[in-house]
Amino acid sequence: MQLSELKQQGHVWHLNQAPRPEQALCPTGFAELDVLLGGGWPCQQVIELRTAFGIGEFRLLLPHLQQQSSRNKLQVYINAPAQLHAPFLRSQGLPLWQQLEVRAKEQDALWAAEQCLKSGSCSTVLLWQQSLNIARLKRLQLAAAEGQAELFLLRPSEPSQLSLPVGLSLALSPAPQGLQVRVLKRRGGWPGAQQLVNFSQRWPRLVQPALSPQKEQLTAPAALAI
Amino acid sequence: MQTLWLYLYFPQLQLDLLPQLQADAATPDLSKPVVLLHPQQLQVQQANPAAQALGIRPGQSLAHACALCAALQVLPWQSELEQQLLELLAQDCYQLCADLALAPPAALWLRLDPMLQLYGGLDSFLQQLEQLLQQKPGLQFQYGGAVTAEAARLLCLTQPGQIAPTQAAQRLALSQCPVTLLDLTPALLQQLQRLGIGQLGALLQLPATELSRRFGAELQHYLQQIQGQLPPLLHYYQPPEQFCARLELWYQIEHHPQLLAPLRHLLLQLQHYLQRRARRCYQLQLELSLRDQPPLCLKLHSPQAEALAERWLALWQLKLEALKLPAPVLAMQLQASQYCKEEMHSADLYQGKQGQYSPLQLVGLLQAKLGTAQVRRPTEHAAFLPELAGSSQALQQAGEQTITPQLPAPEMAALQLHQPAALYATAVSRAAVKTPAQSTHSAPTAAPLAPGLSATLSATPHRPAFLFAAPVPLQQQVQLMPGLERIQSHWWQGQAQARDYLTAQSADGRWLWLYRTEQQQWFVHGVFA
Repeated sequence: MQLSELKQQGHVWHLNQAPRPEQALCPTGFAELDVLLGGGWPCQQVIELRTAFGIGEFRLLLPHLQQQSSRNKLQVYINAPAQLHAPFLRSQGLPLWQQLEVRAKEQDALWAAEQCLKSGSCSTVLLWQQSLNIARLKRLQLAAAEGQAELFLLRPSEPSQLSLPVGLSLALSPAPQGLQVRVLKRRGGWPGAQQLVNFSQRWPRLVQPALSPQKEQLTAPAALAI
Repeated sequence: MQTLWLYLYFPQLQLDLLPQLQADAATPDLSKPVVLLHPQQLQVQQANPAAQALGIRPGQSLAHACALCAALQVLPWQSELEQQLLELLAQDCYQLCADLALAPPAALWLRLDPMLQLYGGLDSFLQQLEQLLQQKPGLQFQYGGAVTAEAARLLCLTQPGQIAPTQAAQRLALSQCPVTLLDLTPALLQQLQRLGIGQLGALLQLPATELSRRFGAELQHYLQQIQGQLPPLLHYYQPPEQFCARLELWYQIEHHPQLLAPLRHLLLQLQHYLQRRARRCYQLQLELSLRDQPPLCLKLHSPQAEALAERWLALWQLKLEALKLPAPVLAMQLQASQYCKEEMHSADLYQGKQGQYSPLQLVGLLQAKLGTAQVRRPTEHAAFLPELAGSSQALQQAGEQTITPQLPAPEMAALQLHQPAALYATAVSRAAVKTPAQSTHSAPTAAPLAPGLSATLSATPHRPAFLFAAPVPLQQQVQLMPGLERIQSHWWQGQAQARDYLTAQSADGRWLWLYRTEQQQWFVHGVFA
């Protein structure tokens, strides 16, 4: 009897075809956010974050990236608004060899994200993208599931933008003690819930100082530069 | 020790390999009569079986051949192509037999006697050789074997398939060989025929001294080569160190998708070349010869060394998509460089489903489409200025180490030990000196460090996640946070930089990393996203 016949009849099978218990949620690293999201980030999906650049959105994802770095796969940053700073990444325990920055035009960025997701060699992909249509999003979702990677889609929060059929969509806004997270959409949950993610423990220098009467508000004027 | 030579002759080399050479619609229909015509002599050089059935033979003039068949398809015979094909066959045969010499235009000499012990006899060697040559469908070949190289050639041409392993057998087999086949000048051949010497056997019976007196030393030497008294003058074949293959196109190509079919043919040759050597290569160079334009040279780099034609073709497809051909392509040449040994990578069986590409293949794919400079990796350097300490570098140079786990470089580790202590000592002392009361400038100063913060500072440097490629002048109202860090650097090079770094939050909630120069100019250098 040929091996191929045995395979067809199911007597012989490859271990790597075995069904794999899906991990539906990965903890975010912030207890209050886990409560809000019902356990953590949904795994192997597209997650939309409506956020401005620089309010703490990267620090919100950092525990997740740190946790994923143990998988020894790449973490890809596509069209980040500025260069990643290596000393920061290293101080946060993210191995530099895993980090990859990609710059591309808008259409090519979607292509690159899809390739990274479905390659199976990336754990997390962060994509800064303005516009996206539903068909491209579907492709990204399939690619994320195929390659077992998460895609964080970071978009500016403009109210007029098309709502996308993503599994999870969050709006982030700055707050004195951290970041205000509002659920725009969540599969298996209700939208509208809000939660303050407190950064004062992790990032004491990046929150407004706790209220004190002698607090000195210093302001810098617009400086003239060359 | 007695030698044994095999002469391997391919009578229709170019015509037989024509279908493999151009696997597309432009190939002439080989079931109809086709001949290859020598462009200078205007004689039929090679004729396919359909043409031979009509009585067309190599050596006939074009007019003669056309008279025999009105619908004859005539293609040019290219001597360079014939040489290339012969070298490809030599590469194949080199796998079986190391002592190999080219016999242009269309034959090979193989010295068998050192190899017979390995193969366990002549029969099993010939069987292997036939198996190898049958991998090229349609290739006709004939061989003859004898004690000397020249005798093997004569035997192959007169009695194909005959092997004469001893001097006596060779003498007997060649006795009937016509002298016209001998490799002599036409004048000498004519002289022999006028004397009535028509066969080699008759020539060899004549006394050697008489022959050399009458015909000169040349004939004498030649006969000694046939009989094995002089060694053959042959250049043994050496396989090329670098892969380089050229393909002349049958028609001009104007659009890039059409380039893929001929390119695939070249890549398959490359695959063959690399797999034989258990090698892979990192970089390919494709030169496109254009009509009325200088040739176009394209380079493609794959961080994961590849051997398979399919992988390279996928990368070339991405690369060529961006290409606009300035003029039609006439020929293409593929060169490979930067080889490495083939290493077997084994994947973890228990890790579940594996992805399509390895990380290096992914990088290669992105680089092929987006350009090499667009795929970068943050890197750390031993420097004090933030823009030098962390920059992103294109993954340009080949090498596994660029994207696989690695240990920090020794000087980096040393700096990590000393730098924070040195820097923060400066920062704290500066902050202590610059109390708000002392400040007389119009620009704001930072509040002194809160006592609780100094502990946090010394643990990890306070650095933003993102750094602007060029610092942006500060042009908005910001609220400064306590904590100042002074970085003084490059005073030893005469380009002293002294910057006071501060953290600030803008009115719209963005966390910025600012610095103030000694000239009291304010810049945004990074963002704590």
